[in-house]
Amino acid sequence: MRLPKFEHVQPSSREEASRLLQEHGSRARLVSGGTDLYPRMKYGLTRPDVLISLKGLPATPPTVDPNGDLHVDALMTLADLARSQTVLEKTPLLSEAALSVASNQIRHMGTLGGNLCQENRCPYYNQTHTFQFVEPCFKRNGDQCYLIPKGKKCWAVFSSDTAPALISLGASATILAPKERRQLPLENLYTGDPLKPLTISDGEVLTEIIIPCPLSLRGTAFMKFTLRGGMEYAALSVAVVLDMENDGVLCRAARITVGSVGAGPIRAGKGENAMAGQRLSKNLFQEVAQLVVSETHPFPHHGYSAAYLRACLEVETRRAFSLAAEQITRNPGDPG
Amino acid sequence: MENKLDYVGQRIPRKDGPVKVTGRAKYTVDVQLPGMLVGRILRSPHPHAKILNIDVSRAERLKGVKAIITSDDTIGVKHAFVDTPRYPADEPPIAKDRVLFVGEAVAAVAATDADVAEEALSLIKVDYEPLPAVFDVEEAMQPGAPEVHTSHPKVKEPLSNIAGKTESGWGDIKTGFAQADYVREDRFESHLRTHGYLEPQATVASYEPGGKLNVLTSSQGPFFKRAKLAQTLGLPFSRVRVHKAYVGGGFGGKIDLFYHEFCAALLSMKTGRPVKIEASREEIFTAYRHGEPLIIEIKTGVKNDGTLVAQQFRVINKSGAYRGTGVVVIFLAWGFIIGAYRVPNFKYEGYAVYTNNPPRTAQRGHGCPQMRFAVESQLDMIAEKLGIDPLEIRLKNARQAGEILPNGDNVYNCGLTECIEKAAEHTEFKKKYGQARSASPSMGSIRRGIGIGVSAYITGSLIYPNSSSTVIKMNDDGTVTLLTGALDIGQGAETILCQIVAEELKLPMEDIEVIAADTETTPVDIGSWISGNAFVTGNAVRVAGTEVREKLLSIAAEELEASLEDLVLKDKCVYVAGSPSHKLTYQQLVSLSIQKRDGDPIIGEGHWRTVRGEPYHPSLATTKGRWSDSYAFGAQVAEVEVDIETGQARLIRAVTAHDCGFPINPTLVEGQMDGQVSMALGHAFMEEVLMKEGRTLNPSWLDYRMPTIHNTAKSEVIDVITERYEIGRPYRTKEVGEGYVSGILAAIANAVYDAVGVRLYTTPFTPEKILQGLGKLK
Ligand SMILES: Cc1cc2nc3c(=O)[nH]c(=O)nc-3n(C[C@H](O)[C@H](O)[C@H](O)COP(=O)(O)OP(=O)(O)OC[C@H]3O[C@@H](n4cnc5c(N)ncnc54)[C@H](O)[C@@H]3O)c2cc1C
Repeated sequence: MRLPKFEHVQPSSREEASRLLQEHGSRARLVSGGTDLYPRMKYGLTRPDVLISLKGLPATPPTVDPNGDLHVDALMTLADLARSQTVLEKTPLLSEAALSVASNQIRHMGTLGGNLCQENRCPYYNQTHTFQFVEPCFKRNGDQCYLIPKGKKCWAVFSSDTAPALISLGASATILAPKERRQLPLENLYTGDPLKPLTISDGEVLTEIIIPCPLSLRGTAFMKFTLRGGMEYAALSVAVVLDMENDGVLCRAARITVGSVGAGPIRAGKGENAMAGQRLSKNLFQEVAQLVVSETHPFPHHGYSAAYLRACLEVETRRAFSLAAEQITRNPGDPG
Repeated sequence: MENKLDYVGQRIPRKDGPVKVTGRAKYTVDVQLPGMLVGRILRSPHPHAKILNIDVSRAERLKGVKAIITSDDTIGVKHAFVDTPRYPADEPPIAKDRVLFVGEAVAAVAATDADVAEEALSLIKVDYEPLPAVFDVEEAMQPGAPEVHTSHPKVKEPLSNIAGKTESGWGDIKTGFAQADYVREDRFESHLRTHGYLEPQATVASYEPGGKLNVLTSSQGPFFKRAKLAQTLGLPFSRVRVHKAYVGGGFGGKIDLFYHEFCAALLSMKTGRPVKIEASREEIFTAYRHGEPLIIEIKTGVKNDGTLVAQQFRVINKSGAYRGTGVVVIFLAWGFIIGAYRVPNFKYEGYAVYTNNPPRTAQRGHGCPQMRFAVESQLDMIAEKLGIDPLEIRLKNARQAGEILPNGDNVYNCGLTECIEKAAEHTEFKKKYGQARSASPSMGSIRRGIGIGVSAYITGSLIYPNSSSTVIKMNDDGTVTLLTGALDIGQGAETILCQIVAEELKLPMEDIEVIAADTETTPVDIGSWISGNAFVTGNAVRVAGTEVREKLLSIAAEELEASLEDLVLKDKCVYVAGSPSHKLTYQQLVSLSIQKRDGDPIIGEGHWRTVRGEPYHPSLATTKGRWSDSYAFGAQVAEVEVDIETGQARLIRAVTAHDCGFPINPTLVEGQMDGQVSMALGHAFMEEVLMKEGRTLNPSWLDYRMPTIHNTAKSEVIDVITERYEIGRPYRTKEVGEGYVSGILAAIANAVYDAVGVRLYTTPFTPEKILQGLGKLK
């Protein structure tokens, strides 16, 4: 597997990166750590002529603004993110999700922005097509899916681990375009279309993630199910945030996001509603977990059947609730 | 003579350790030769198709392309792992007229660099006419199935695509089952796994002026490769030299002749320049040879007390598009049944069946893990039905020292009973077994279980090149050089061979230089793939060492005017016992020998072979004939934890009680055990090559899940010593590198059952299957 030839451009700022991106149009791609992009280039799945690299640009360490909200630079590596004390204190959920990605080596190269903007995956798609699966599938601009041959759609899954965590945390993304800078709820970054997973366009750069950190009682948990426990994309993941009333027993609001079993991260709205206003209990967790499964419709993928993923998702979601409930603490800085 | 051992049996660090851990060891991919070209292979995108036309004209015009070969450039000689009158070779070195699997080589290119070579491949235009293909082995057997090859003429049943058949039996199977109090039938099936050698396949071939082909290739033994290259290239053996670089693992996957080896050689012959071909990991996953999945049907009859009275097997090997080792594994599958337990009435049928999948090959244990998984799982089911415990039923049927197997092999000092007892005792098996099934729901979701599995494995057999021969020569300074054809593929072959030399000559390890695995300069060796290195090559080295020692002693006796019995070897000197100043150094002895023995610089030569006195290897068709001279036995206990909600299981602890005769190097033996335990747990829980219609779905380390350090289990090793090494005498040590992936796999399956009551009939033991077994999948 060889990396095809390309031109490598090193902008001196994010603004310049955005400008260059727009200038080169569809010939160009952004690259940060390259851990998602380079393998795809080696497979011949994408052939940019120009790579605009964000790697050389310094990443600002995480900061807390006067509202108490956490700002994380999208250019930060996952390794730095996972070991940031500020992030750990404010949003242990994000630290955990970042730490669950791939391996130590990859976390040292891979960035948060790249993680959130990674491509969808499928075992038919993510390989070289010189003699295997030569006829293009939907994702290679063809008109078929090998996985579900009678299907009319693509079944590639979106496997970012940080996305479900950040969506459950209510994060928003700062998008830099040549002429504007805009703020977007992170869940709106995703189209749910496996052929074009992101809503942002070619000239746009994801520069920052802002995470609101309300002064309230909160319990969070992130579960990632894999067979090997490392160097592995999730079979499924689920990120749960439980915001509690001051009594610590009634759930004021819940956010539940499921990863890796659909074309994008999936918010489980029905589950969230069913949790809100309720007293936490084992029974409630079980009921809501079932609801979450019923509204997510997991894609079969990478050798896991839909039936298994449903069963496993129910267990992992219930466990996430229990874990979150055990970890309910007051946000640091809250006078109590 | 005194038999104090200073080297054999010691935990001596491996000889190749420092050069490997400091990154100085050169592997085939590291080799750069002046003017070297890069080769690449064009592969079939079809599982079955006619080749109508190959047009290389555009590729030939590409700047930097130096040669392109297709089957027209070959001499048209087929080759195969097995090449006998019954099973004539069936593989063209490059596809001719027809392709039979996705990944089959159709053409190859040599170019100035890899980019040009790859571009050239894309410019070769091949017209195919797709043909019907078959992938499921039982479909392939049906009359009227798409024909990969015509069925074997000697197999008279109306079955398609039969590559070969093995039949064996003894006693009277009907009477046997009639005598049984309980009979049960089960079907087990194994899955496709790859070897996971970390060093990719690579070859550098250089055809030199004067007509000599020099080949450096990552392999498990150069002599087999030389034979196949000479045959397919039409060169005399003497014109082909295959030699080693360091090898980063093989596990059975680097034995056969591969396209990259043949093509690199032929491209070099065409261009007169060295050619390197390196397989990408993706190619290895998609187009190279993985292990052999088996379907195993067993019918077993027992007495109420657990005594086996009859056993009948039908085994189907899911072969690929060429025979490969497919007809070997159906022979071996029989062999891996007969060693462990006595079965008075027995019938066996094994089929190798062609499909349009890539060909398969040997994989560590070569059929043994699959067979032991089946036999040992069924044995536990029988024991449960009869109300006897798993240990008792094994002890009742276990082979004992001195028993003669149905093929005439002797198990000699078999330590199986002791292995079972020690493994059980060490793990408190009796106390733990059956506990989980009485667990209460309040215990959370984790259940722990314990299980046992047994294996017996041969120590070398007769497959070309059949024997090992070595030369030990003394150097002027009193050090020695060992010449051996054996190839160290990471298992520590060179280290243990040096320990034997060191022991026979009482010479420090540092004073032994090894020249190994070179068809030109080293004598022939069986290769690192039939579990015979320590026994067969080891004995050959011992014989050579003895000859050198005797020469040293005889000159010393003459010069020191002492009798042979009074002489001792120590610190590179020969002493008269009790008179330490009365001595001659090895250096002096070498020069005395040259002076007084007509110039003999002291050279020892040794050769060895297993089943000496038997002219031929056993029949693959009927299993008749002796197979091996030495059998290793082992009992392995697994403790697992299973999450009854997610279905996920993991191995917590593995205990291996093994009769390896005696360990030449205990550290290396333990390394083999630990490696086999982690390989087996990958087999059990994680690894699977997923395929659809002959194409591979997970061709990367990422999606093919080999265990990492986090998944490894605690592995404990108990030596059951049944042999001893005596200086100057033949020994019968036993293999340690293959059998122990087997018992532990069976033990894991039995432990999962013990934990959650789910009997698994197919590998791998995925969370999905376990949840299904628990009735929790909707
Ligand atoms: C072996 C292996 C295992 C992996 N396991 C996991 C895993 O378990 N979980 C997981 O989530 N991921 C996994 N990954 C995927 C990937 O490594 C990570 O998601 C990583 O965080 C990607 O970051 P990067 O900076 O390397 O992205 P890049 O490869 O540089 O970029 C990825 C994509 O995002 C775009 N992009 C990058 N930065 C920005 C930006 N600031 N704004 C807009 N677009 C941008 C690029 O154009 C590209 O299309 C794995 C990858 C490998 C190779």
